Amino acid sequence: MQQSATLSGSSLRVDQIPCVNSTANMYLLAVGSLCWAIDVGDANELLINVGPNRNLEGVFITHPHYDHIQGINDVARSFPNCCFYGSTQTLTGLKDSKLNLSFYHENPVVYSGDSCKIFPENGVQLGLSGPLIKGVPTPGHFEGSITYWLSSYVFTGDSFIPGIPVVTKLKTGNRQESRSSLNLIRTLLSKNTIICPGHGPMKLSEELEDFDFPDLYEST
Amino acid sequence: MKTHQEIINLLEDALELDTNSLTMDSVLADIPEYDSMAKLSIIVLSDEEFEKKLSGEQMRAFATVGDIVRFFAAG
Repeated sequence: MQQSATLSGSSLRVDQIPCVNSTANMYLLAVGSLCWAIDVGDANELLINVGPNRNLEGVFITHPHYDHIQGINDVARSFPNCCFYGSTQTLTGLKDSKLNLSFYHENPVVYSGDSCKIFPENGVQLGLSGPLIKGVPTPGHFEGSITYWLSSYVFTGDSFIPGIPVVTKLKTGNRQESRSSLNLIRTLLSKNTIICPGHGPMKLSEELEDFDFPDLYEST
Repeated sequence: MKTHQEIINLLEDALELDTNSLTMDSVLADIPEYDSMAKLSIIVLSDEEFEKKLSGEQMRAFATVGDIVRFFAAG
């Protein structure tokens, strides 16, 4: 699914990029010839979508589980000035293969660069006159998860996947915190919000039903 | 050295199940919560609590909770 929007004279385009090496999603945010990404699970797919004539300025990481970050070193090699943003815990996870769970898979992922920054509280402007991307902590699936929002798009990572219970069994997961985060995410949604989850298809908020929040409306 | 019951309790925690919901005879295929994420959680548990590397192949060989418990309990 591809979506685009125009904001105050600058064209923002948002494309979902499903990873080929896992079931995770990435998203490409393009403003003119400049690009940013949400998560970096599959370097090949991300690089193909950025293309040869655009620059990847930064990547906003929702959480550091391996399926969302395993392309980080290849992307960093292709775009040496690309900055990787995330929470403190996420940046720790980029360099800790046990925390990012890649240790338990075939190819442990440890980010070898130093071009990473804690996502600032006041957000990041995309380009000189582009829109502002903001973030809010949504712990539960992972203690340092961030949900980002940009214009009418909300990038929830694995903190909210419509119709799917949040996985809280993994390291630093917490069911109570997840419920609080789900309630917080709901407050971010307006009628025309486009939910961009870490797995599965994008969905319009006006199409959401109670069953899309199985952790909040558990069947008895 | 953990007792079998203590290991069962760790598994219940990893699977986000209520205490005393599992027994040694519980069949893994009959536990809805025993999904891919639960298996990953148990692999992490094996590494961190028991310092044992647990492969996917070993995971697939487990049929009951008791199989996992005995694997962890074995020196």
